[in-house]
Amino acid sequence: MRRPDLTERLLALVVPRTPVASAMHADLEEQYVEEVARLGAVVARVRHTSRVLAVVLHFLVARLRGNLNNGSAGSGAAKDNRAGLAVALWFDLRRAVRTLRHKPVSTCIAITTMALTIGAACVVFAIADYALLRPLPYPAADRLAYLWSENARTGNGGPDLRREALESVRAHGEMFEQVEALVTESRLVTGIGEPEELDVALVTPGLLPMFGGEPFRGRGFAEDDGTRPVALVSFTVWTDRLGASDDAVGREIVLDDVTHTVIGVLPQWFRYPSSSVAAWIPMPAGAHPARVTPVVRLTTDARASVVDARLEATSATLQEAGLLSEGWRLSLWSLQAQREFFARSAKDALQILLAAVGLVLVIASVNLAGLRLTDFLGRSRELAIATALGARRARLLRQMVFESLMAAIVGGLFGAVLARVAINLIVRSAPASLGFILRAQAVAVDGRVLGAVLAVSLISGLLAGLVPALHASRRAATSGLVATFASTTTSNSRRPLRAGLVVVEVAMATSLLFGSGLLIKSFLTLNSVDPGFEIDGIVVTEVTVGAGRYPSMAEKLELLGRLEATIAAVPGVDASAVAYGAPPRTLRRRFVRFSAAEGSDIAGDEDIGYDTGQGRFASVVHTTDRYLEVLGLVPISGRGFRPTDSSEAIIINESLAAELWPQGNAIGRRISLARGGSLVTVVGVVADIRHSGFDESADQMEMYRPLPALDSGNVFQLLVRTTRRSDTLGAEVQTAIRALDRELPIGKVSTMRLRYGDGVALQRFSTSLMVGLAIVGTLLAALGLYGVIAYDVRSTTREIGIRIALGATPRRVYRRVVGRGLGLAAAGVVVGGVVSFWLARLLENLLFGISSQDPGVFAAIAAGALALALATSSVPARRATRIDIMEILRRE
Amino acid sequence: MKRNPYPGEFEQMILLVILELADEAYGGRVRARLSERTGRTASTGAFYTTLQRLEIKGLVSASAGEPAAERSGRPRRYFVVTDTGLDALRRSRRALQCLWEPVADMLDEA
Repeated sequence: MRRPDLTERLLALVVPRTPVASAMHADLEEQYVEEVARLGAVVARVRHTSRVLAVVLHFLVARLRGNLNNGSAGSGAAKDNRAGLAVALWFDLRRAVRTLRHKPVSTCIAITTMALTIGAACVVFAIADYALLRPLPYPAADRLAYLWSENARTGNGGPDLRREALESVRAHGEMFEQVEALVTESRLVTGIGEPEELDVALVTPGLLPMFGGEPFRGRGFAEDDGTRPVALVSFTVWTDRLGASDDAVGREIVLDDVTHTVIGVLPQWFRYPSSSVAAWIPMPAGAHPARVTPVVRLTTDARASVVDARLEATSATLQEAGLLSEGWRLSLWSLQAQREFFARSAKDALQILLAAVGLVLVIASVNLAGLRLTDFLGRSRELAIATALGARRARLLRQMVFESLMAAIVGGLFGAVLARVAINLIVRSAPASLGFILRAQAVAVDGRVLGAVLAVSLISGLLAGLVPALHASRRAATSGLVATFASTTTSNSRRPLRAGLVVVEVAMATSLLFGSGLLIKSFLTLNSVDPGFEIDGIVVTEVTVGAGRYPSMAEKLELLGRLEATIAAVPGVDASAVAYGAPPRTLRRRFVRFSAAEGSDIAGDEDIGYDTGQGRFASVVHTTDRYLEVLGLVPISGRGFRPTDSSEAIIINESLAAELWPQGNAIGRRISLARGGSLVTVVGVVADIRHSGFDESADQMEMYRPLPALDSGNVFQLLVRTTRRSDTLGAEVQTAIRALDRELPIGKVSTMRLRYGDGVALQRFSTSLMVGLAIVGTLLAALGLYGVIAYDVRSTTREIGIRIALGATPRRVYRRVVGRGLGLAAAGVVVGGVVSFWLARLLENLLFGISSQDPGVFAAIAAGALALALATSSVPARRATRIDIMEILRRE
Repeated sequence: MKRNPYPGEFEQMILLVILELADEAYGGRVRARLSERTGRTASTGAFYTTLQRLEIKGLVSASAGEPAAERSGRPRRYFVVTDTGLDALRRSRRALQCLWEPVADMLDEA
C-alpha cells in the first residue's frame, strides 16, 4: 500500500535528495503501512500527514538558515545571531503567539473586538462592492446594452421594440456582435408545489449564453426549441419546488395551463434579468409577444460616434418600414448605466455606511492600541532586561507589533466567518432598488472581499501596535534598568497617551451616535407623516386573475364582485373593496390624458396630463363603490361612488380639481379622457393622499373611476377595513377566496401601514445598520474608557490608599475617579460634536424633515454619552473606595 | 568544518541506540527505540538531519538492506557506529564521568 501521493510530492519538493533523505521517505512509508494495519486508514493518514508537514516545516526553516547542506543545525543561543531575517521573523512570530496565549483574557477581548468590527466592515464593503464597484457577472459586460426606442423630442421611451424590427436591427447593425431579445411575463405556475404567479422570461436562443447562463444540469436552448414547450428553471425553483433532485430534467411544469418539459437548471449565480425570474422559455414564433426588449453586445471596436450614426440610419430604415413611429429613434442604455441608475438612491446611504464602519474600525484599532499599551507598559521590566542584555529597539518593536498583528489577523478571520453568516441575512432584507441589484448577483464574502478584510486587519493591527510599541520601546531604551525596577506607580508621562486614545475613541463614538440619532429622528418623522387617509385598520392583499382562466374582463369583474361579497361576510370586516392601483403604488401606476373635447368643461385646448413633457400627470385608480369608506376618505364635496354609477362617473382629488377648475365647484363638470374619447362626469372631490409612500409629496393629480371602467389588468388589491388583527383575519380571507377558486394566486396579507413601511425600507435599512454600528462603536469606546480608568485605579492604588489614610473620605475618592472619567468623556464629546456638526452635511440626502445640525439630537447624544461615561467610571471608582489601606501598608 | 571532539547530546543518544540495536539499526527502528528509552519523541526532520550529520562526520556508516514492498521497493538503510564514532562516544563518556563524579551524591535520587 503506497502512502498518499500529495505527501510524497511535498517531501520531494522540500527535502534534498540525499541517501539519508531517501531512507527517511521509505521509513515514513513503512510507518504509514504499519499504522494502517494497526490504527485504520483514516487515523494513519492523519498521523502520516502531520508527520510529513512537520518534516517539511523543519527543512524549510533549515533552508532559510542556509545550513542545510553542511548538516550543522547550530544550537541554542547561537540561533538568533546567525539566523537570517526570515528566521528572525519566524521566531518573533512564534514568540508573539506564545505571549498572547499567556494573556488569554486580554487576547480574547482584542480578538473579539476586531472580529466584530472587521466582520461589520466586511459586510458593508461586500454590499457596497456588489452594488457599486464590482463589474457585472456577465461575459464582456461592458459591451452589453439595451436597445431603447425613445421619443426624439421628449426623451420618453423604453427598452422595447416591435419584434419584426429585430431582423432589421441585425441586418443593419454592423457594430453589434450579437442581437437577442427577451420579454418577462407573469405566468401561473402549477404542477410543482403551491400555485403561484411567477415571472417567466421568454428569450431568443442566444440570449442566455450571451449572459453566461449555462445550465449545470441538462442543456440550454437549441435553435429549433422555439417550436417545443421546453423550459429552463432557476436554481431557486430547482431547490424549492423540484427538491434539488437529479431527475429534475425531464419533469414537467405547467405555465398558464401549458405543460412544459424542464430541459435544464441554471446555476445559483445566474439571475438575469432579475432574481424573481423562475423559468426561461423559448420565444415562440407567431404574433406573441408583439413587442420585445432587445439586448445587444457591441463589437470590441465600436466607437460612440459610429454607433450613434448607425443607430440613426437604422431608425430611419425602421420608420420607412413602419416598424418605428414617426419622431422616434433608437438609442442604447448600457447594463452598467442601468446598474448605476438603480444604485443611485442607495449610493448615499452606502457611502455613509462605509464611513461609519471606517469610524468603528478606527475606534476598535484605538481600543486595541490602548490594550496593547497597557500590556506593554506592564511588561516594562521584561523589556528593560531585554534591552540591557543587548536586544535592539527595532527587534523589540517588531515583537510587539507582531502581537498586535496576530490579534488583528485572527480577529479578522473570525470576522470574515461572521460576515459570511450575516451577509445572506442582510441581502435578503435589503430593500427595493438596492435589493434588486444585490439579489441579481450571488453576493458572497469571496476572495476579493477577504483580500480587503486581510488588508484592513493588517493595517489595523499595525496601527494599533505601532504607537504603543514605539512608546514602550522608547521607554525601555531610555530608562535604565534600575529606574524601571524602582518605578512602582504609573509615571505621569504614560497617562496623556492613554487618555488621548480614549478621547479619540469617545469623539468617534459621539460622531457615530450623532449620525445614527439623526437617521432615527428622520425615520420617525417619515413614519409619522400623515398619508392623507386613515391608514391604520386596513388589511390588504393582492389576487391575480390571469387571462388563462378568465379570458375576458367581464369574467374577471364577475369573480371580483363575488370575492368582494364573500370577504364582506367574514366576521370582523367593517367594509371591503376591490381596487386596481390602490396605494402604495410604484410600478403599476396608470395615467390618463384628458383634453378639451366637445362637450367638455375644460377651458382651452391644452392637453393636461401625461406626455406633455412637463412631468405633470394624473394617475387613476379603479375601485368598487366602498373604496373611499375603506380608506376613511370623506368627500370634500359631492359624493362617493354608488353601486348604480356607470363608468362615466369619476371622483377627483383636490389637486386635479384646482388644476382643471381653479375657481372651484368641480361637481357635475365633464371632461374627455384621451383625444375624442367619451365624456366623464365629476361626482365627488376628495382630499389629496400620498399614493406612493410617506416621502411622496401630496400634490399629485389623482382620479378614481369605477372598476368596470377598467379595460385590462391582472393584479387586483382586496382592501378590508377592520378592527381585527391582520394575521387572524388574513387566514380567514384567504380561506374565503380559496372557497371561490382554489387555484387563484393570493399575495401576502398585511396591513396598509406595513405596505407603506416597505416604501421607506431603504431608510429603515440604512438606519438599522447605522444604529448597529453606532452601538458597537459606543460599546468599544465605553470599554476603552473603563480600561483606562480601571488601570489608573490599579496603578495608583498606593497613592489612593495614602490619601484615604490621610483623611480622604470614600465619597471624595469616588468623585475624583469618576471625575477623571467624566472629564475624558466630556473632552471626547466636545471634539466629537465639533467634528459631527461639520460631517453631518454628508447625511443631508438621507434625512427627511429635519436639519443635519439638529441641536436637540446633539444634546440628547451628549447627555447619553456622559451618562454612559458616568456608569462606566463608577465601577472602578467603587473599587477604589474599597482599597484596603492595611494591605498597602503591609506591602510597604 | 571544525571538528568537535565531543558529539552533541542528541548525537550521542542516536549513536548509543544504534550500538544497542546492532543489526537492526535502520532509521525508523532507531527513532522508535530512542523514543521508548528516553520518553522523548524527536521530530522526524531533526532526527534524520542529525543522522545525516553523523554520517558526514564519519561517526556512522550506512549500508542498504533488501528491498521491501511496504517501502515502495526501496531498501532499508542500516547504520553502524564506526571506530571514529566509538572513540567519540568513549571520549564523551570519560568527560561526563569526570564531571558527574563530584556531584553524583548531590544528585542521587532518594
